[in-house]
Amino acid sequence: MERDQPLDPRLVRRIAGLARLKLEASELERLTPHLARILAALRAIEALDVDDEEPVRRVAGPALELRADEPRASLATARLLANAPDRLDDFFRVPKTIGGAE
Amino acid sequence: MSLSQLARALADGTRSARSTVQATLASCERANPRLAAFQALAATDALACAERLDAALAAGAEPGPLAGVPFATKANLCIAERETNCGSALLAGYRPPYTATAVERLVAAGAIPIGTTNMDEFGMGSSGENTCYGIARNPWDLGRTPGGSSSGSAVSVAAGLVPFALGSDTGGSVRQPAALSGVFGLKPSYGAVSRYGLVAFASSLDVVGVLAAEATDLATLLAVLAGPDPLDATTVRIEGPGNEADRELDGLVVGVARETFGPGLDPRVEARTNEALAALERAGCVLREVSLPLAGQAVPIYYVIATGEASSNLARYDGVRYGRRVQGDDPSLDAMFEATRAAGFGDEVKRRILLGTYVLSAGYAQHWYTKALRARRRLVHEFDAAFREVDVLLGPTTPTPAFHLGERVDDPLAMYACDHLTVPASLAGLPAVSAPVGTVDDPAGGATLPVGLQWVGPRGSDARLCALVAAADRLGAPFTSALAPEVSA
Repeated sequence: MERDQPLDPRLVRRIAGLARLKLEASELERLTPHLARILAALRAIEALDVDDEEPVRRVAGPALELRADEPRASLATARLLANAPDRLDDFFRVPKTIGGAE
Repeated sequence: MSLSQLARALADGTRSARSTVQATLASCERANPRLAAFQALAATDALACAERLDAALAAGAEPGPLAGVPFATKANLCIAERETNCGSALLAGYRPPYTATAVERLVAAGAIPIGTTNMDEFGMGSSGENTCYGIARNPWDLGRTPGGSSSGSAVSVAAGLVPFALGSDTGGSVRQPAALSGVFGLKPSYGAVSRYGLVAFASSLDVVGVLAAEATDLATLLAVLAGPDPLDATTVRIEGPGNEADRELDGLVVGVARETFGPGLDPRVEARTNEALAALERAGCVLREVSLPLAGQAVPIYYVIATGEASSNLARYDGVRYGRRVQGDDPSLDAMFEATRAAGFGDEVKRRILLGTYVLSAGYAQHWYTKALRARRRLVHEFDAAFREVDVLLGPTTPTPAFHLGERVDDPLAMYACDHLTVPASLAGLPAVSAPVGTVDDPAGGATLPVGLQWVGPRGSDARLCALVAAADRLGAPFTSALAPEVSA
């Protein structure tokens, strides 16, 4: 993608692909002008002269405490699987990923 | 009844937890069809919790500081085996296997969770309208928003249904609804309160906060909620409230940033803010003007960072481990991901995921996300410099009083502009409180609407900030809160 490429429906569809979002044609039509206007407003940051600043990776504060590296009980498999949309025994089941659909 | 009155009545035996919870549930059931504060009430669990507490007290157990106090929780805070859908269709029916630390701590102090409240989907919104569940209504005027994204939590407190509620604040989602609904809202310092069990939106900004009916309740709740949690590595220990002199208004140096009185500020809100500042000056505060130039650019900085982090956090909703799954005609795994997310997310969440994906994508990240992080650093420096001169920063919480439902739903930029006074403290990780400072009358007639004053303190000064807000509250008008007339009448 080129940085100055205008945010048109083609680019939005491409971004949606990266985000694993399927957009209907009507949605694309509705969302594209919104996104273009928002992005134009966000461009205000381009004018800020902050290149000498270190990017914030964590809001400053005391050093983080690490907990002891000790094994402890975790949640039971059955409870973790209870919300699975589809499962097989102790596994999450998903559509076939190898070999392709016939 | 206030939080402290309730806890006292229970401790001296004049009231049981069961009767309190029963009365609360009954008033919630009566009010909810009109207000849509709650998604769901947990009557059976709440009554069982109350009965256990009554039995423990009868057997001689020491009552906790919140014994028998009912409270509401935003629908993005996990409670084991209770639906925690974050206002999203994608998480309809999701019952987490564990409970958020914030909720656990309140329960350990004797408080009783009675239900989950409506909210903007995943906390993304400033009006409570971005949800497929109920749209909460402002009890001061049912045609208006109570503010978002902790909309239902604010309404549950403003309508006098519960003395306090839990919310979450990423860019103002506790403070804005507190201001627009006429209650107190505390956004703690980043890391002060554990986020274990808070469903993530933007991890470098998210905090768990509280909405409360009375100023003095903030300190009580903060003392219960704050503190390191082995289950959240980002938690830090914050300072205590300081000595008595630190909690007095006399001699307090109050900073006022001119950037918070910029264009777009409703003159009625400005007038209330100025009255509050004048009252503080009469009480011995020293007012000083400060400058936070980057605060005027905080909305674009915030939206680049928040959407980037949201797109990454929300990648987990893929229809595999929890939540809704949609397959569609194409039987492939990728098609399942795409169809699931298309069907599960609402428009605003999709917009933010798309924006976030864009600002983080290869070739763009330096230009957008990293640049925003550099600007964020500058803003942190500006706040640090200001707090070398002043003790607290004061200004309006929101540019306008509550607006009409539907007024901004088709204009995301107008909605984002609501955030411009609250996002600076979020970006700098600072504690902030919104406190009611009287009301304004709608020029069109009819509505009387509350206004909020925002207090911002240095990082870690949460307890002192709460004490100062309570000290201002003791001055009386204009620092007076009242329950919404629609309900208290």
